[in-house]
Amino acid sequence: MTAPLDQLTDAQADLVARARSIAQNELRPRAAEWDRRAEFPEEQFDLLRKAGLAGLTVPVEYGGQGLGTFEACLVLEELAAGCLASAMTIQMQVNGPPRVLARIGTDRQRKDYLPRVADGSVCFSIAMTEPQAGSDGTALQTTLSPHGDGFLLTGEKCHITGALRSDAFLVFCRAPDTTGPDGIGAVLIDREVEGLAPIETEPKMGGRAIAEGIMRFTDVPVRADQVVLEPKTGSRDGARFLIRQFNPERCGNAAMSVGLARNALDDAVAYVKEREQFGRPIVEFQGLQWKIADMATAIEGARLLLWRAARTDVEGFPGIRETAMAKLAANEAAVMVTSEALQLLGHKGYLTRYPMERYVRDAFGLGIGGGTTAVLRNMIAGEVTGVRVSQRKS
Amino acid sequence: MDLALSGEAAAYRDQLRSWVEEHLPAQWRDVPVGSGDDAEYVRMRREWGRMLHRGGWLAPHWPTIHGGRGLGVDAQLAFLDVLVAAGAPEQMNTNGMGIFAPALMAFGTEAQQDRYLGPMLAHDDIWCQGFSEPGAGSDLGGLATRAVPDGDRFVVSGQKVWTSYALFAQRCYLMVRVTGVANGVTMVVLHMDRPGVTVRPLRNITGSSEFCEVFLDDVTVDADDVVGGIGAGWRVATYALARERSTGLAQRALQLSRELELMNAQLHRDGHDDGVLVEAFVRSRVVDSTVRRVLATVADGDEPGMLAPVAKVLWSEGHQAQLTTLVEAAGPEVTGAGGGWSDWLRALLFSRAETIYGGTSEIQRNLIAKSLGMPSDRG
Repeated sequence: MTAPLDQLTDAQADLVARARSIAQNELRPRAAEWDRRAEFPEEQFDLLRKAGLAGLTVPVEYGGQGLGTFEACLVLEELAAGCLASAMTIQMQVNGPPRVLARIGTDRQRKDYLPRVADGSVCFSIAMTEPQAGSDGTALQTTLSPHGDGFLLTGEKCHITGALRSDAFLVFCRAPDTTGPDGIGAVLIDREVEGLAPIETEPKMGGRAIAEGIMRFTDVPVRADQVVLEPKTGSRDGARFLIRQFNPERCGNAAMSVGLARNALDDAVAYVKEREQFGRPIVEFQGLQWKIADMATAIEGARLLLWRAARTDVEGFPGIRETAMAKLAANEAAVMVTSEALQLLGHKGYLTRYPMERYVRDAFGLGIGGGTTAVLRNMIAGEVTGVRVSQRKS
Repeated sequence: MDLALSGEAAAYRDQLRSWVEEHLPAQWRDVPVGSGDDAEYVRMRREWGRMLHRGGWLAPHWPTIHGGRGLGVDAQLAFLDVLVAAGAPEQMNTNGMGIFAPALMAFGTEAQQDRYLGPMLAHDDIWCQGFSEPGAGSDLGGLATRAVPDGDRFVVSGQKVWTSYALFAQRCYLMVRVTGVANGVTMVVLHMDRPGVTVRPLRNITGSSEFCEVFLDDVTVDADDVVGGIGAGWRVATYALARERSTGLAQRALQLSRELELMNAQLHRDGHDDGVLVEAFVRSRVVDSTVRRVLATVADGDEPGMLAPVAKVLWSEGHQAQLTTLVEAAGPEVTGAGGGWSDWLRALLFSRAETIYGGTSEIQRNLIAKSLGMPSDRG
């Protein structure tokens, strides 16, 4: 008999309880502080690392727990309900480049990096977005050119989540003289490397503690053993892989959106039960009850879509259609729920003295990073109709 | 219903348009509401108000005795249209001129009108609104700020919140409860420089501190600063709030279309699909028409009634929706707040206040329901 979609095993339930305890007792009390400081939450990451959460999805033979996208999502929802920035420190480790290495990396690359990911001594970022290649990812221009026994990497990346802190990067690039989906590949670059300019950043609206970086590569030497997916002229394998490898990250993003929305709803529910106007708690007003109902329904619906997507995880990568739907629903739930929760708190929701305004700022970023809701809609429509229309001007 | 301009109003509009083109500094055009450093933003709006006043352009619909031109509300609409089209900032004293001044003209004494309207128009006195309290937000009737009669004055104690620009204000129209009288809710004028007034700015989601807390500890209010009489506060406040929801917010509401033009240009410049804003354009036309209907109703000497809360809901929720659409359409580059996007992000965050101040969307809906004759849920 198939288990109901929302049923957890005992081990999964234990994992959730452990993550929830850390999130509520250790992360939540300091979440505002990290946002205000706009600094990588090093102490929080250390806590999560010691709890073994950095290596959640690293295969057991490399020192991790060998769990999948589903378990990663369970943990990320809990962490984000405590502190989004802290959850983001784990997201890149459990759903980012290490998943790619585990799937298609060489033995040497796995042995070199994965044990260090598992013990939290190396942090990864994925370097994909470029000034002219955001939603249109295959417009990337960073080029990997053959040079002697290896290659030279030249180009510019932007909006690289966690770049200021990360020790290693999976950099997407292309073969010389290729365009569009042809000739795309990826290489591993360590932070301390000749030709990588000091990483710059700029203030942002939400997720402030996890800065986004601008990376400029000028003839960065790349050894052959740093190549994860060689860019080849005339091949679209890299582009296909590029799209699929985003799916664990997108599921993680959806999980954090659900956690953030859940947190906002919990705060709003507590407030409307306590706040009295017109001689009674405002929770008694039907108009507000309907808002609460819509918020809760959006969260539950998004979570079920997410769990379905995460459970389609095949060889490390959940399905495109299911993932896109889950991220779209979760991102929109997060924006709607946090905005409505702010409205329910009224004046208190708008002030920095209380956390609700932070939830609103954070929610918008989740709907933009890792594939905007607009791009997700295009993907879903392509999956549903079978008609995939290039948005590129011909 | 439409508000056609009279010949006088049309002439005023044409003269004002020429004047604005000549006098509005380029760096003040299309500055988003609530943007930049608080003090600098206030300074700009105050100076703009003074310039308009010196030119004789402010409040054309006010009686000449109070510094207006004695024209109809159609002239005020012309004023707003010209300023919006030019991308001009709001003058600083919209809170006083748009909300309290009509109530002062309706309920205040001649002496009060003489004392306060001139400096308000000249932007010598900036006004703030002392309505909301920690325990009296949507339920304004629950206000607890007390005014104890003491000879020819009152001694006022309490706390107000959500008080826009209190840090920069010289005067406050304040709702208090006079002790020792049944139904003692009363409107008074508070001088912000009196001993016992403490203003504490509240940092908000945008990082600015437009809204403040105001603490009142045994503050003296003169008896001749009671507006409309003791116990008439609710009537005066209701009148003022109806103005806030209609004419007071008209400039921001009419600004939606202007803002959409700028959004469209930004999306187009950065290579995004500008078609996403079509729905917002349609909505902005509905808001525009509704605000004009409100102004036309007021021009006829009628109360805007249900139209005022309808306009407030359409404008505030429409503004949030169009900013959200813009940011989602812009994609990753918007998160870093560079490339000209930071103003839009700030506007998006600021817009979260728009469904709260001036009566929340929930309260507006209650007012609409009441106008429709639906039963109150208070039982």
